[in-house]
Amino acid sequence: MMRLLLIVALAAACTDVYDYDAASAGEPEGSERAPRGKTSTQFLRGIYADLLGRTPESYEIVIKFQGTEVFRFTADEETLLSVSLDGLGDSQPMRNLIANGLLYSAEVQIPDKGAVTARDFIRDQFRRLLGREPNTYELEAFAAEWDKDPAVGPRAIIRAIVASREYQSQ
Amino acid sequence: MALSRRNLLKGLGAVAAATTLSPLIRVKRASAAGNGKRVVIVGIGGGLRLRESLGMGEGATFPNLFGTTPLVTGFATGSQGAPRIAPEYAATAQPLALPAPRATPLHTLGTLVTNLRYADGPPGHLQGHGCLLSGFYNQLENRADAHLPVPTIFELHRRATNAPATDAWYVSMVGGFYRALITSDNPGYGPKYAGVYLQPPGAMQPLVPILTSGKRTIDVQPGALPTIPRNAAEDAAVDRLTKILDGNSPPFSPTDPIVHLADEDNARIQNHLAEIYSDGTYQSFFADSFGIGLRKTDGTIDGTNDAKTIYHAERVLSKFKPAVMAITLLDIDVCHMDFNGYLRSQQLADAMVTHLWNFIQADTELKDTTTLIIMPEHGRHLFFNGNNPDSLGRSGIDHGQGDNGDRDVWMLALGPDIKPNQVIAPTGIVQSGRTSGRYETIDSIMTAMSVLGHETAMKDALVGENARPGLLMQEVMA
Repeated sequence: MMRLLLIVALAAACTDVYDYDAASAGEPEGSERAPRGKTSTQFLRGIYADLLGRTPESYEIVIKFQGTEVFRFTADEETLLSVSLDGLGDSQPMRNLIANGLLYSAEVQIPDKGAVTARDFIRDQFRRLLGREPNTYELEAFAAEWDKDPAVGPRAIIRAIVASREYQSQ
Repeated sequence: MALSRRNLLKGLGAVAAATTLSPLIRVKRASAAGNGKRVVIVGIGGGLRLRESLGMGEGATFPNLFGTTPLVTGFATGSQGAPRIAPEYAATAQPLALPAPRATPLHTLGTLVTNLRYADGPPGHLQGHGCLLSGFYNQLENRADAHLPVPTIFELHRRATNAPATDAWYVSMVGGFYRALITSDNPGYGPKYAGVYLQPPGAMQPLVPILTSGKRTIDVQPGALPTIPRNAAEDAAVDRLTKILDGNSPPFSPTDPIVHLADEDNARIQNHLAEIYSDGTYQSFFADSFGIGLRKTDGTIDGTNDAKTIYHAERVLSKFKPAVMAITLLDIDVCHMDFNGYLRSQQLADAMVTHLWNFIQADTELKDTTTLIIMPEHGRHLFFNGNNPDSLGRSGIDHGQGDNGDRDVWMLALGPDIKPNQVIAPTGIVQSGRTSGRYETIDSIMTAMSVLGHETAMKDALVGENARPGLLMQEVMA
């Protein structure tokens, strides 16, 4: 009896039909998302984290002349560098310069070319900076440049990835 | 130029003020894409009245451009001396560094229109300079993403000539919303045809290499201040590697609010910046040899923001030889609070624009091809605002209400296509919708574009947006 009542109840409950509009999430399969550029502050915070392992800071800079302090002032890294980036309509050239400057920073240790293996170093930097593995073409192209050009070493690899549209995109 | 403590301090001082407010790739000579001619438009902002400039109502503030005898009536008569600076102000003000004035004023080399009218639109700096960049009276909002609805002179030139961005520059003393003036929202133009925006007081900062060096104590060594090193071979390698990566990723969205120039343009700009940032003397940020600014007690010079702007505009002209350049100066806007500073800033602007003209004339390629157009973006009120009164009974002056002080301006045009030795004030100028009966600011920009051969494109674009196009000022042309 209970079973019969349950069947009747289920049958009654299933008489209502609901229609929903089709919904989609994300981009259609196979399409590419058109990237949008990082803002100046997004770029600065990102590159400070990636290259220096810290956020931009505010601190005192001391200026000495012949060993004697002549003055000091407070410098806010994010504010000052943002001003320099926003001084260009497309700040990419200035971003590349700042990245290059930071790679010469006393805070950054760049290994010598001879101290690392090309493919391992390239893979590591793709993971660290882009959050992915290099594809076969990228790895082999980068490694070939490493092998044939003495100017391609750890600093050039990092600079190239940081300058890429992929790194510069949100 | 030898490095010294003063040079460093000068550079760092400039940076502190700013906070409050591939070498292997050769620069491709743009060779004035199009008809081979060039136009440089200088907007002497922000807000310059006829009374103090052509009228010389407080003395001769523009002796190089206009001489010492008033060029309009009603404000002063006879030969005028130096601007009248209140004695209490002069006693404490940093002296100006000014070259000796020209024997013959610049206006005799070209045509001066003394009765130009900024006829419409709010007398605000952004809107006024927007008009100088488009020939369109506008009510542009003070927002970073607010663009003009009509194409800018940069877009008109680039679309017509297929020129690279580095053939069209906007060098502005002021940043912020002005960055958005480099491109319009016009559907036929837009960021694809944007020019290069450069704000020297922002982009050229000696503190940047100090920050990136990671050093928090700098012991100044002559010629060896922190730099961003250049390595031509490495830069070229980086460029190749980046192209490999970019070849695998889609282009930036066309709706991205950030302007993205072509890789080739950015490479040239980066090369230019890298030269400046690798100079351990810091003279590349602003050189004492420019000779105009505020004189220090040791005889050296502090560059004002306007001075840095003209200095770097000249560097860009020298390297890129662009067909279109617009320059925005704004130091005279100190007038809101400081009338004496307003007069002194005019003296500096006068010397700087003259320096720019001399610079162009000294370049064999530029001198025979470049038209220089100089004008205020708008004026100021006919009345004082009471701020910081001085002993001569003067105080600050605002702008924006649209009285005749705000709207009566002038234009000086110089160059091979301009009729020399003319001071004119044409009347009876007729056009549907024109009530001034005079030549207007928009006519100056149309005339500038006609020099480049873009007047039809500009007219079509303006009419397409139901805007009144400027007229070609026939009397001005040689």
